Amino acid sequence: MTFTTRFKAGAAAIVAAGALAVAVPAYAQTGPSPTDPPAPTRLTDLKARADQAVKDRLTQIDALTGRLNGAGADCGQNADVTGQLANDRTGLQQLDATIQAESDGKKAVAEYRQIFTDFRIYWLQTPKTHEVVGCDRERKADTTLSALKQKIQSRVDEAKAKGYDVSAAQAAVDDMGAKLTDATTRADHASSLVADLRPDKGDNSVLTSNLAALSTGRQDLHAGLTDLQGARHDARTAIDDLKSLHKG
Amino acid sequence: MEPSRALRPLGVAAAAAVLLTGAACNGPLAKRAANTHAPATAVTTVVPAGAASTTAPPTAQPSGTAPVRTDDLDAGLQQADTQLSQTGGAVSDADQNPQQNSD
Repeated sequence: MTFTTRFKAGAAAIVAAGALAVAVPAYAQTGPSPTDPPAPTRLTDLKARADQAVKDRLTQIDALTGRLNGAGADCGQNADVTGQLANDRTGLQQLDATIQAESDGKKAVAEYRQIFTDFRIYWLQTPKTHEVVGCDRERKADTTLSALKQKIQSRVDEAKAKGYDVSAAQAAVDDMGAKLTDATTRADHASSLVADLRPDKGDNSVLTSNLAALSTGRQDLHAGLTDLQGARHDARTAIDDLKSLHKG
Repeated sequence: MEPSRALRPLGVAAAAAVLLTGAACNGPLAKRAANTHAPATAVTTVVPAGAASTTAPPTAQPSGTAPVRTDDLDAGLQQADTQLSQTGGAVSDADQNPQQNSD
């Protein structure tokens, strides 16, 4: 093998690897890990920074709770996650009170770190809640499309009874049913996979597995959405078939 | 004078009377005849329910009309579109990376 040949092969491998890296969708990537901020050296600064960090997280918790309450459907994990957020709120408030009353600098630094590692409001609870709400939304759309499927099926049966050839419309309705079933499975999997993920508390292996689970959940939600869009396409096909039936 | 000659004036008079009577009656008769041939107005026909479906064969559907109702299906599809749009937004939210690197 000449140098030129080896160079070409190497270049091709690099290009292929690059293409694969680009081909991975954003939602499938685990992304960077959190970098917890260092604690301020002066105790008064630390206390002020801690208080602001807690307030920011309480605001975020309220927003996430609002998202859950307005989801319009429930894959079964809403109460669980809402309860976790309520506990986070209480825990953060207690931790802030402890930090504000702290006189030991070393203890204050350790407690300051807990705001991030023990709650993971942004890195865990936020994407988790979004995925649970994503499941809820998919469930809602699935319910609407399932009701539509039943209506279409009744019209297909009616046309069939009148002697029309409904084979194409029936095939579309059957495919619609299969896609709706798969969408439910995918969305439920996403929600149940992430709902009980717990903060890593500084354990890198837990953090890594949490990020991987969140990534899998996102992939499931995308697959579920694709199923729902396919089911919607099937519904359109079946309705159009019903409009242009001919007697078989 | 022969009897036939004696009756001839009477016959002429009778014929004239018949003609005059006919002319006098022509107006009302014509009106009656016209009324007989005039089209009927404000006629209500009661068709029993289900009679159309039993008499009209499926192949006799007018062009452009579906053999079964589909307008409500189109409406259902529109509702599903709205919800799918919201679902897409929610799934997109789940794709967002955390806003803060520090947590």
